[in-house]
Amino acid sequence: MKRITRALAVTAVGCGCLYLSGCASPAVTRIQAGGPTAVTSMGVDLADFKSAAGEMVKELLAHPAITGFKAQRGRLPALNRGVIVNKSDLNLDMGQLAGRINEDLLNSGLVELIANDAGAVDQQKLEAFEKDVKNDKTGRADFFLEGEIMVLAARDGRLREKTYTFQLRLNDPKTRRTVWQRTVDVSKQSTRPMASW
Amino acid sequence: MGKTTGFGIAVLACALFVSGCATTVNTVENAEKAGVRQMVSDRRVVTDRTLENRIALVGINQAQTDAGFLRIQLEMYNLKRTVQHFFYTVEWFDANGMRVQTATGGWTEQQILPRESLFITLTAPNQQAKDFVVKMVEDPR
Repeated sequence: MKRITRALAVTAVGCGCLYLSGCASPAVTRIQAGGPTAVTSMGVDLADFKSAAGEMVKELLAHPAITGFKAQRGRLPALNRGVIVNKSDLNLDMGQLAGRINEDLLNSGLVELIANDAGAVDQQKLEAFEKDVKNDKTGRADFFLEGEIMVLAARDGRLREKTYTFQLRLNDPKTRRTVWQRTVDVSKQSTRPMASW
Repeated sequence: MGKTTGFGIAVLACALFVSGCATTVNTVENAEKAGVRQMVSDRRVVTDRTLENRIALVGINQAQTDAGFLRIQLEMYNLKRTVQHFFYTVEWFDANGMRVQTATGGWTEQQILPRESLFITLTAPNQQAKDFVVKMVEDPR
């Protein structure tokens, strides 16, 4: 009888501990966004966006098409973010890449960015209509920033590999020439577990 | 029992011998260099001796682009006979010593092959960036 009571008591204490641990709030920690402690997945992480955008934007800014523009034309180049096509297998928000590039380009003071937000576009159209401007050049860009994100997958037994390619081009619409292009590859490898479901 | 132990030791020794034969990087380069690297005299703060003993930051050289952007090149060397992973980042500072804030960049994970010399080239985010701090860390996860 004593044994049964003891067993019941131990079980009750065990259940109590489990119940209490279930009530505990999960341990949450703030981390450096995209830093070394951030989760690395087989997809595209914030660190990949930041790293790829960082490599591209710095080279773009240092390119003569941008840095030599003011000396040639007497004003800063107007840049429009064109379409960045997502050809990868992921549902990606292109703003993560293009937005960061735009921000660093703008803060460099070397380019002017054309705003494509609905409010700015509507207001500009309204003003052009009110002033009866037939040839409105406000939204005309000197360069378009366009590109794509692509993916390559490889597999060898349980070893899986994915390479995401970020490619950006700076196109001149007047001459219809590509004046700058940069490709950044991000490769990731993982091993599939022996048993998974 | 004695035989089993002896066999175990032999297997372990073989495993160690085979792992010691890890693939390393051979290099060949032109002996008479045309380019002269402008090396930066650096100041180092080492808090992780393990990382320092695995990956050596051989040197940093710098140059300027035509547009006046500072460009630096880090030369790393893997001292070990195994592939190493590390993270690095560069923070840029203007002439007043204030950090240049950017939306891009941050920590980058890098792989370096056994006995490989690796060159990483980084361009400053704008023309105002004059100084830099390179940070390196092992994978903390």
